[in-house]
Amino acid sequence: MFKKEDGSGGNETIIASGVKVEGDFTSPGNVRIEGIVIGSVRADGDLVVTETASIEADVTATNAVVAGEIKGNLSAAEKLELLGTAKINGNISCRMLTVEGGATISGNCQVAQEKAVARERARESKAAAEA
Amino acid sequence: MYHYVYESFLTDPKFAKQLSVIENRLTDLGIYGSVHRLALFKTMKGTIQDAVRRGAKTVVVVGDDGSVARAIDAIAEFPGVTLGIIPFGEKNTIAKLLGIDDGMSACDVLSARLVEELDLGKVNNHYFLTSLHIPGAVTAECNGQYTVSPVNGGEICVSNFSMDANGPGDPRDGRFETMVKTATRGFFRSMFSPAYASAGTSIFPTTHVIVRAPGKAQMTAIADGQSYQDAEFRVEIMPRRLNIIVGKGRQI
Repeated sequence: MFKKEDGSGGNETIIASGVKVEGDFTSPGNVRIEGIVIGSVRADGDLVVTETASIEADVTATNAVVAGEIKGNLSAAEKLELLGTAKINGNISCRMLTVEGGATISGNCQVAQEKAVARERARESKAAAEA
Repeated sequence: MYHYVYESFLTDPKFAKQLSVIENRLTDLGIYGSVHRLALFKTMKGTIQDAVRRGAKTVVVVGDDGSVARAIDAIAEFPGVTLGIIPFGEKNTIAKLLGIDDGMSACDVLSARLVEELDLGKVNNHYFLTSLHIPGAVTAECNGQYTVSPVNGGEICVSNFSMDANGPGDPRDGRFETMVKTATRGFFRSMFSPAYASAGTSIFPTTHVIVRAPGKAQMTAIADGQSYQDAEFRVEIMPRRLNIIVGKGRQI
């Protein structure tokens, strides 16, 4: 009688292969990207970027698994996993990083606990104030 | 008092016996009321507007999916009015989704009067309950934030209430599931057998969608089986807009 609800409250977004999304894309739940995205991506849940995906955007998610190509900065609040086919042209930041052999990263990579990130930001703002 | 709107095809003598049985059952249950019969110049919209003007609080449509779709389009303008359904004719998918199996069980459902508030979709000036389909190489602007387009053509479907029990679309969640269906084909498979083509479906939760075709070309949209033509379709969710009498076996 009643429909089943998944953990994300039915908020899962799928961008399939053969579909192009342009603009500021935000989702309150999980996101799976197999197609083309240009603009920005924010997922409050988990993000999966498959091998067929092509993204030209800054990407933010809670957890992310990437097998495709991203041209832009990638930020995961918790865990980030780069599979062997992943190509990242941009900076990466996360709390926990796993990289499989074959993945390529062109950019800075910051893996830090929140306290360390906060310390770094405080130091940067202090330096900026002194300057 | 209940107002019953009879679809025009019910004048066919083959329905006379079945109608008589249902009318007797409604009388036994004490819920029989005034009857309005649709005809060539007596439309669903005009009939429902007249009934509401005369104080109708419950309108019961007697007919098939097409009748229900036209009744929903008319009754959505009157938020205080409740809609009931007595299914008749060939196609009654909407009634079945709402837990109303046939004419006789519909009488008991009306008598029990279990009312559910459901979301409706509004496309330009028309309302729909289930889904809207727009085929072709079109672009959908979702929530005013981003645009979605199938690269090699496809179909856009804005679903409020899925006809498939396991499909996306709950008419009580205040949003649509906008789906973009594309055909993806492997080179050799599509060369030798188009039947091997497999469809990819993208799903986006949305509250308002604007669908446009390239070059402002005319498009055809099909909502609840009704066909509309325009160069642009503005689709928005109307939360809890429809009061409708449902059965216990409803698929929501």
